[in-house]
Amino acid sequence: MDISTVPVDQLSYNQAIEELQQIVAEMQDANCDVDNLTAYTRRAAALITECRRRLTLADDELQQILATLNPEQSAE
Amino acid sequence: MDTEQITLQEYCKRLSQAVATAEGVQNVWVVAELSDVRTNASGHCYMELIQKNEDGSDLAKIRAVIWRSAYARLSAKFTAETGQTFSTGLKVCVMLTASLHPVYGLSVVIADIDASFTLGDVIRRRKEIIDRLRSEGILDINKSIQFADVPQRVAVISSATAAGYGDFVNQLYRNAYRLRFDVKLFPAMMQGESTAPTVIEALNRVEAEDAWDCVVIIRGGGATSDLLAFDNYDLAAKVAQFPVPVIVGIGHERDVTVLDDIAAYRVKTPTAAAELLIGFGKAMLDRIDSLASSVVNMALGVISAYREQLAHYQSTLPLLPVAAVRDAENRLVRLSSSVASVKTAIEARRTKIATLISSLTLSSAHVLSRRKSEIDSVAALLDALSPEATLRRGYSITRINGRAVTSIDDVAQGAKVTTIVADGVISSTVDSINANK
Repeated sequence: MDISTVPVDQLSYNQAIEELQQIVAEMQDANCDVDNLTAYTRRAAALITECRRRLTLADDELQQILATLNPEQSAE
Repeated sequence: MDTEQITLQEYCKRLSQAVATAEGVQNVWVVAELSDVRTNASGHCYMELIQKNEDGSDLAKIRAVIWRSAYARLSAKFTAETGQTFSTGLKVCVMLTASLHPVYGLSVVIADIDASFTLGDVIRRRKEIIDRLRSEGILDINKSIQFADVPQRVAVISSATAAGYGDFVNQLYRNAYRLRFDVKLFPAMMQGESTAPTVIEALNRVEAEDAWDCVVIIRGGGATSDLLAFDNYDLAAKVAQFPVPVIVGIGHERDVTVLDDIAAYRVKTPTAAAELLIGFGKAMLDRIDSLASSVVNMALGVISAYREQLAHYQSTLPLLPVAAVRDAENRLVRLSSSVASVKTAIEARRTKIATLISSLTLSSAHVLSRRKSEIDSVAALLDALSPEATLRRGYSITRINGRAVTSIDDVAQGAKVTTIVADGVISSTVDSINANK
């Protein structure tokens, strides 16, 4: 399997998950060699990071949103 | 004027009497629709009971009251049995009693309410809507829609001032997993006659923006107010055919509206709607975590396999030259012993070849001389048998038409023949033919 070079932020969430599953399947293959392993792991890490980033909020984003929920507190 | 004159009070007394004793007027179960229901400051509940024609015009209308002393009990019982508050728009079956007060006029009092009638009517109305949606083939459309991606972009249809919206947003944004959600409120009326049209209008705006993963229709928790407004065919049809999953959280514990049967998801409260969405996101996070640990485990597994392989080579490497030298020595020994045996074999072959050569020389000389004398005698025989030799001894060959003449039958008188002799050819004509005696 050729490793995709499409930037992860251009994938839809489901596309990213699908690619991630393919990579896991590929890594389970006994023929996975060390050279591929590095590339697979790097790509998988990028996909995982992107998926997590989309699902979850960064600290500052979270603070901003919570501030809008409690306007009287944020005004202090 | 001889006719009797009575006081107004007396007249009212007679009227009152007539009403009180008239046949079929007291304690009668009457079916009607509620309108303009309101409770005044002293706790009495006033309303209009109406009956409408099929075209919607009023056939009958009368003011009625439930006295405070009965209202608390009757309304609680009604709500418990129907899941509805006793409110405008409901069809009811009520026990009426009439009386006429000299000052306050006619009053119609509700003494009891048959909740099962209203419940039946509400259920029948819902069933009609459901049946119609089913016959139109749109009943299950929204329920069968999958989320296109993770549902994070959430359009909320609610009343901006409702506590339910605040509960929802709070719950959603304060989720323990820090799941990201984008929420936008599309305000609508959540009770009263404007409910269906404003919710439909809000749904149209959500649809037009085409930027939302799902729609959440919620209304404030707390007081149970009438849900009849949601049992509306147009609204139900809109929700049923909505292009993204709809989550409804407008019912309360024991009641459902038509929308609960049609929307992709139904929950009891706004908080539960938020929990549902958080649950979807959490499932996605779990899936990513599990894939991530798969990747890590696999990578570590492959690496440790290669490490073991490497370690194996490292430990065997120092021994390898010794083993190689020993192997080479063994091979040399084996080779030299086989070289010796080859030498012996070669000697034997060489002797045999020498013998063959000498015998070959002798026998070939012998064969050659014998062949030569054979050839000489054959040549002599050939010479003796050749036609030239015969011709030289005085024989000749006579031919006719190229064929040798061997019988008198071969020629006729006058035939031209040629005679071949040793040194030439004689042409002649046959004069006579005589057979041997």
